[in-house]
Amino acid sequence: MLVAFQWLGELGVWLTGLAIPGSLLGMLLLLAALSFSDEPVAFLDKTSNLLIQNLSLIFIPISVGAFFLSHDIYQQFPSILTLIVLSTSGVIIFMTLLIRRLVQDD
Amino acid sequence: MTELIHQQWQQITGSSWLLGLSLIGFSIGLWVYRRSDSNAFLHPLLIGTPIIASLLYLWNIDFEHYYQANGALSWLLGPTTVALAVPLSKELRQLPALLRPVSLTVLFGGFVAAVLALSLAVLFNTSDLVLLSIAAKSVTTPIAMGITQQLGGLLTLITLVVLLTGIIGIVVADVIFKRTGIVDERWQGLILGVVSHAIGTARAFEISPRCGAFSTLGMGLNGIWTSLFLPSLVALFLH
Repeated sequence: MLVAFQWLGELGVWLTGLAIPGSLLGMLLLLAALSFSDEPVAFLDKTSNLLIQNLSLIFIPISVGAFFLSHDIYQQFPSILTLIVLSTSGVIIFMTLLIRRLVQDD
Repeated sequence: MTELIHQQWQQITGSSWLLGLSLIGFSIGLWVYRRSDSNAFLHPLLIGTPIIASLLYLWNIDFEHYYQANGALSWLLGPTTVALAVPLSKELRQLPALLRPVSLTVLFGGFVAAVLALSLAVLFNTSDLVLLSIAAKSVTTPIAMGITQQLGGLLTLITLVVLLTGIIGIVVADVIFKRTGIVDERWQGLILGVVSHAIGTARAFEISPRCGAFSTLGMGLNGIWTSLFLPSLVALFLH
């Protein structure tokens, strides 16, 4: 069923030339379908839980690739790391302040 | 379209015993992580991948070969992305009342995350390839990989960057929540999800189920939103 929606998404992207990943469109389609049904679909619940809980396993192969990057990328690694720390902290502070304002307004 | 089917079929059938290596590396990583009381710095990916990489170096197996042998695992990424719709649909029901703060936070938060990362990349003068490979850093890996592939960045780099962003995010968020006194679990969860995607969501589920649900929401919405604006935004930052 999940695969079917993925294919539906791939097909949709292929037909419309949208600039989003096919699996993402598939997710949106499933989300739309689920919002029409009142009760949760049990077998879908089980499978999706299993997949989401073991998400890290799926990323193992591609993450191993981080140890096989080109020399050029490794040289830029200190800047990449600094960039991640700075931008991540910045966004968290920004969102914290934003939420405080929004919730106070209400 | 038939090309795509053929490609995916080859991806699955190209798998071999090297897939077992991933399973073992992951199990060791998971074991260490659980023993450490889910310490973010001991995430299964951070423990498992160096073990696998050193074995590959030791046995002189090149990465391409290993990666192809794990085709079936990588193939699961598509269905898993679709599966994110299930927890998301549950949260959508209680959304209307909180629509304004939630949507504004995700819209601005996701956008600022990308602009900050790209501006810093330009400031640090990284190569275009690096810039393309870090743009999607706050997005959950399955979606980030899809976006990065479309942008033409390095998949091996974005997964590492997403992982590091997730881990740094949960550590920093902890400190900031304490300093600023954000105690509402719903907002903590939302921020964790937008910034630290699946890792933040896992962390949020440790705080409370409600926190986890809002984190899933933040992660999912931000993934969709970012994939929509990122391609045009990135074009402005390329050399």
